[in-house]
Amino acid sequence: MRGAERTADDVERSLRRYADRGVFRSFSAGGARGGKRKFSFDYLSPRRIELVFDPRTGSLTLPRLLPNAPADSPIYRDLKAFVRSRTLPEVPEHRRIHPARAALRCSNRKGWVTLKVVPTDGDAAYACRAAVKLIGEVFLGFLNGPYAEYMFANFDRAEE
Amino acid sequence: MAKTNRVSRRKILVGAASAAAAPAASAAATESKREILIPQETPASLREAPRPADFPMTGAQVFAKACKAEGLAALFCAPGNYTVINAIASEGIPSYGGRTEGMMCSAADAFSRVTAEVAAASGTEGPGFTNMIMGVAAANAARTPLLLLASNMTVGLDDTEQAIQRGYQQPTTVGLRKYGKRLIDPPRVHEYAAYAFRQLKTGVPRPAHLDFPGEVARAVFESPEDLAYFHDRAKYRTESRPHPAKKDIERAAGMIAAAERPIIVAGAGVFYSKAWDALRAAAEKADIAVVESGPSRGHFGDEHPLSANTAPDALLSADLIVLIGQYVMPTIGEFAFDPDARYIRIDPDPADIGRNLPIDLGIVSCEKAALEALADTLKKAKRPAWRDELAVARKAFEEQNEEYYRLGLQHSEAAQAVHPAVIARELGDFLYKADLDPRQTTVVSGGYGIARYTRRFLRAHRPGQICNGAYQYGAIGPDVGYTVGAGAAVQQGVGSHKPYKGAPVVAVTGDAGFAYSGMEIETLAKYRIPAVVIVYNNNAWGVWRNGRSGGRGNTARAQHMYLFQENLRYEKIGEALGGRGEYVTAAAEFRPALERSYAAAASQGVSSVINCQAIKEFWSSQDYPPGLLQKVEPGCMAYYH
Repeated sequence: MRGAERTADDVERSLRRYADRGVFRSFSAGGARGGKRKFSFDYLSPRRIELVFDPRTGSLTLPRLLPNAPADSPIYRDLKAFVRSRTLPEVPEHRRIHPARAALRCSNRKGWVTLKVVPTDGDAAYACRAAVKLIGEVFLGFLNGPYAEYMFANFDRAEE
Repeated sequence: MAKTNRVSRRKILVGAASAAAAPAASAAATESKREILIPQETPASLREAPRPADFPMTGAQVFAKACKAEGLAALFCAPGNYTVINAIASEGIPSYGGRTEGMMCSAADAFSRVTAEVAAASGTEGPGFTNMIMGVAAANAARTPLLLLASNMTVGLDDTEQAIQRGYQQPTTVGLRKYGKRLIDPPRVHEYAAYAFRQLKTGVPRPAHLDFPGEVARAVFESPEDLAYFHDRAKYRTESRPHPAKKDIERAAGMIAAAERPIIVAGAGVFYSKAWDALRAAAEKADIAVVESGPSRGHFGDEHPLSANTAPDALLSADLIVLIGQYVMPTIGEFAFDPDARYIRIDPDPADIGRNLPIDLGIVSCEKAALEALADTLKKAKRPAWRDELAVARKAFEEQNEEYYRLGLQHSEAAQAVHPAVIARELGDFLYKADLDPRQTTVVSGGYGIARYTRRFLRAHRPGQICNGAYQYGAIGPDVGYTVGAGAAVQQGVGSHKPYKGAPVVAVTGDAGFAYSGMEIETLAKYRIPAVVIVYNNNAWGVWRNGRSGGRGNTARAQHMYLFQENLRYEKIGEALGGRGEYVTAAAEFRPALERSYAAAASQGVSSVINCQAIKEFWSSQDYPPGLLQKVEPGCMAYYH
């Protein structure tokens, strides 16, 4: 258990580093709840981003990252493909999330999209970095694609 | 001269009519019996030799001489402030009179944006001055060194409301300028010219506003002794620039050497300090990628293998960002950089370094001095993998553009209208891949939704080749005003435009924007500034979807406020104001219309309006994918920062 706590502390330190640099704003590290550690911060989205670390599995979950993307919608279909693509060898090595080190999962509940990074080699620090990079790839890459109306409606992106 | 104009104009009108649809031909037959003529006085006036003033001089003349000595590159005005504008014109400073003060203010802004020189705008007191406010605000947001001038009645009758047009100007421009002063002490007129130019020519540029009451403009000075201050500019300001500390440059060079994928964001400060050669030298020495930002493009050409201007997907790969002269700072996420990327910021203003983006190193310096120092200090490095990644990203971007074009052709056919992707691609092909020198044509890149397509296809190969219309302030209206300024710069052959002196300029705007500035087609025609103004006509404000049922507020009752009449004939405004008009209703018609318009501009100095008929529904991603496009900044799509 002490090892798990240490890992959770490592994740917090890793995330706090982004806050200290000004990349995340209003960073908050909640206490352990149900054995999980919850963090939240403002980054790339007017909706507050939550990140939940499960020390038992080392997984990092981004719950309810995107709203209004039903499971049968084109945007969800495209997002799943995009997330899957981040592990492919065509992606430059410095941006690739290596499948030997972490697995990426997409889930959908009533149109709310949750992303999850699960370390496959037990390296929570790698998974944490991968989760943060994944947020960047989704908001700065994927969502800058042909989803203008979705961004106007759901993320208050300026139309002008 | 007048006779020649008349003959050529008739030919052009005939050509335009035959090129248009049948109804236009019958319209031509009922043309007014009176032709549009440039009055003989205009070319005669333009041929007049400068008459520099000498003592005894008025305050206006003293000021105009100071402007001449400072190299004021152009004046754009509407009448009013007569003594000052007349004195500036007499000194031999290229001067242009347009239809509204506001658009002339935008013209001056654009002149600076494409030349890096100071230009002036002038209007009359009261309404003329307030008409310029939007243009001043846009120039301020873009960090343009705009000299804003206006007359302002007399000090002696301040507050009386005697006659008309009295108003307090200086409080109106607070927050929209770098410096402002109502001149009230006549002997200090030259001194305040010095105050203005010190601000305009140093540090981070923004507008300087001087308002001239009659007591100052009309004061007469018999000799220099009558002036409180009257000095050569070498005595009241310096050309010296802040240079970077050696240890800072060494540290920056070390960070660049340690990085695998460094990128320079070359902002407006690189352009205004004319540092493009130093930028290129530094980038090439250490294989640093470069991406442009700011109100103009071309200070690092798109054709360069290290350019990331058209490689948006590579931005997230950069591990070190060197922001140079990035005056309008993005917040986190507005530039598409990786959360782990480190930042160096180089800027003349220490008070701005650290704003919005975290810095790992801040360097206070003139951009040119810093880039020269970096080019000297950097160790040679090769980064073939980074170059390869840039090339792959550029190719992916071009392939995406081609896909949009393919869709655009389909949509054009289906909707019997011209899709923006077709306009953008055909324009890019014509300017850069056909018979023209790709470096020749200066483009005013404006409009709203259309701009999100055209920016993807427009390319810059020399400094100031693209004027980014809506930059930062987001004004969609001034595009034809900007065209007057950019066109005047090319007509005068200023700076990088010299080899292409007199070449046509191309402007892109929307139907909403054209309404604000379309009258300036007359100014283009009057001065024979050759321009091709492409109007994307989708019958509505670009944001029309907000008025739909399901839009913001979920009421269709608002929709009428977002719509225009359909199929409006903006090209006829071009014809009515002394230019040509083309009405394009099918994809295949656009390229021939563009070729005819460019030819008329190049060979006869005649401007054209190409009215491209689209439909508002093209912004729907469901009905006409990809719909309204988003953008990635920095790079060719950028206009926020």
